[in-house]
Amino acid sequence: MNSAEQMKTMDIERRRRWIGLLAKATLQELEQGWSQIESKPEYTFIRVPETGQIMIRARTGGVGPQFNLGEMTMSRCAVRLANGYIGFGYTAKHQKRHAELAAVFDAMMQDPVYRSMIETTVIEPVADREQHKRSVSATKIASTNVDFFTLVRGDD
Amino acid sequence: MVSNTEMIKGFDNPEYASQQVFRQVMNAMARPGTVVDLPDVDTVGSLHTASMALCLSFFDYETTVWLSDGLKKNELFNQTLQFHCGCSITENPSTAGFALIGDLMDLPSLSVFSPGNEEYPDRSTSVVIQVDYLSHMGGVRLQGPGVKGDVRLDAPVFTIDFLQQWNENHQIFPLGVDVYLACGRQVAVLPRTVMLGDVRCM
Amino acid sequence: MYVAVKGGEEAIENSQRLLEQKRRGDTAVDELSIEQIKEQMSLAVDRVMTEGSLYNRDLAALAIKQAQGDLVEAIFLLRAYRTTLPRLGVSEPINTNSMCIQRRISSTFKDIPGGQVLGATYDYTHRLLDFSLMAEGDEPVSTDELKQMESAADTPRMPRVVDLLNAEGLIETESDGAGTGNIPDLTREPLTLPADRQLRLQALARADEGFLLALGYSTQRGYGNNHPFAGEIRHGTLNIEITPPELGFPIVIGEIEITECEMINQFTGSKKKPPQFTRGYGIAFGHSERKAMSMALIDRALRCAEFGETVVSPAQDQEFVLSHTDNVEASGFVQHLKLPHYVDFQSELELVRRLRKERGDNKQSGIDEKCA
Repeated sequence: MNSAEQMKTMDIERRRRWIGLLAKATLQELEQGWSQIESKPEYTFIRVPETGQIMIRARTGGVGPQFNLGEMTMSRCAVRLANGYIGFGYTAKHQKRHAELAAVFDAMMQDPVYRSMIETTVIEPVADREQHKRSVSATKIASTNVDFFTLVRGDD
Repeated sequence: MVSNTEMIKGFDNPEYASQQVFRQVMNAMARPGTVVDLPDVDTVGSLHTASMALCLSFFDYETTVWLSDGLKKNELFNQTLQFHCGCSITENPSTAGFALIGDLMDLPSLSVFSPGNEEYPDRSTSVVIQVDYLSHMGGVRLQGPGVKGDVRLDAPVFTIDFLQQWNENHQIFPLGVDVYLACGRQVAVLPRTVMLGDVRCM
Repeated sequence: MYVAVKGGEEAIENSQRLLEQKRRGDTAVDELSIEQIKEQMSLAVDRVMTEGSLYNRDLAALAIKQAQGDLVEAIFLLRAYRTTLPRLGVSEPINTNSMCIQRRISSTFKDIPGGQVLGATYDYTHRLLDFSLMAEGDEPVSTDELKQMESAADTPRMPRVVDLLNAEGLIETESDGAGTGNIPDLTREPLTLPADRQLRLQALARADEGFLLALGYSTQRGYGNNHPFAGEIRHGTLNIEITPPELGFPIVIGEIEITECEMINQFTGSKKKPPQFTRGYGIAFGHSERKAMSMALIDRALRCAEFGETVVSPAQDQEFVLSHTDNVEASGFVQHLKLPHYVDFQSELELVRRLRKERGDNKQSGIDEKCA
């Protein structure tokens, strides 16, 4: 892999991360982030917000051939900012406005003018909350770790 | 991957617009020879507005589409299809749910497309052909279910060769392809049930 | 067969208004919110999502509220709603090895890497009604009260037990030999028999829990050659990823809760296969252990042809199982008997009368015979 490719992979990884966090954010977090922006960029829809479903694939025995497990809702949207940046938004929620804001933030994250501001007001708070949620859950789960003792049977 | 900043938008109101397209096409299908107007929408390259409206309304993630040579080479159009419709493009016309012919020069024999099968005649290919003009004045005479009186349709597609192919297509009913003629914002439909003949002023 | 009838519009409208009142119950009692159902009836939500075959907690909770808690009706509502949603794609296959574990137990291997994690379970409760729940304003258990607290940075990710402990190779192994190929989809093509395992698992995943439970139980009682062990049961959360064509790389769109069960079954061997342990697989949305376990039992029972076992019991008969697993279909067909069958019944009535007449019976003699 040459350095240009490495850069590209890094860029993709960063974008993957923020798109995933935007998907997991609550609508309230996104709206709050949006309201904090003083000079809001203008944008138009390339794909108006819509809700549909995706089929979740699982594997037989967890590792074997794939099969269709069941569906999940998904909302998505695509926008173009006035300065040309295109953003895509996705969420498993049944919530078009969520997809719209996620798309706008994805576009803004690609724009160096907005990036650091969106990172601090939207992306990182969501990342922190997700991390906190996981660690609280992990602590509770750890308290139920059990070690069963096998009792020797009388006739042995 | 969409990087092209020329990417066009789809319908502003997809539910409403696609219902409109569906309704209009249903009328055109029920009354062969009727020329209907489809809603206006942005389009790319040489694609007629009506063709784009058909794509946006009828193609989805589960649709398999065959493209004629000219359209296949149009990068922006392919991206648009993939982005807005999510349909898959096939090289094999006999497995396509839809075929899109950008230019009459690229029109293959109708027999290359799927005529459906005895159990599911509805699984035939719907062939969308773009034409430079479409008129119900003059042209071929239509006969069959849904056609009352002297109904005519004129379009550059009606060559002797095409009429021969159409006749064969009509003979295999209930199998056979249906043809959509698209010109500008207009569409006329030739369902497999219609008979074409009696060419006037050709 | 039923016939069309006319009229009754007003009565039907009134009946629906009455239903709305019934659903709401006594207005002096607070109305249930969707959030309350999601938070406090989460296992009902899980079942509705699993059998409604659509993962969305809000919609499942709404369905439960609308159906007055009738879960089969709620499942029907969710199924009906999902047909209005366009299919936008498929997910990347989920990797249950990467699950953030909330519970993981094995009843075949005591010492497993990562340990046995009980999580939240009814297993060790005494099943005594807790009257303290009747008193409102009860303080919830705080996190600090959980004893033996260990602070953990992240929920554990644990590899699957069965694969890990199969050093001797005595347990059947699974591999993705077939690749992605053509993956059958019940929601697109009607069920055709014989169905391969992928199709069967899709049908079982959305199948009625009660039906699977009873059938699974029947295999344990000897109706079907089956001697199962719970190799592993795990419950936790997973990210769902899709690869949108416009991006060309996978992205996370959300997180789901899932329950997975791997049953290991003794198999004495056949001409083609050596004695070994074979597997049954169960998986369900949310925390649905009973469902996942029953599904795993039935999955194994339905694999009888693969292992050269003779079909002797209902649970092994795929036509029987797969044709009757769906509670939306079953409920529809049973309940359609409520529709007007007047004409049908009238003709049957005529037939019985004629048969009676032909036998030379009359009304009186019929009664005489009974009394005799």
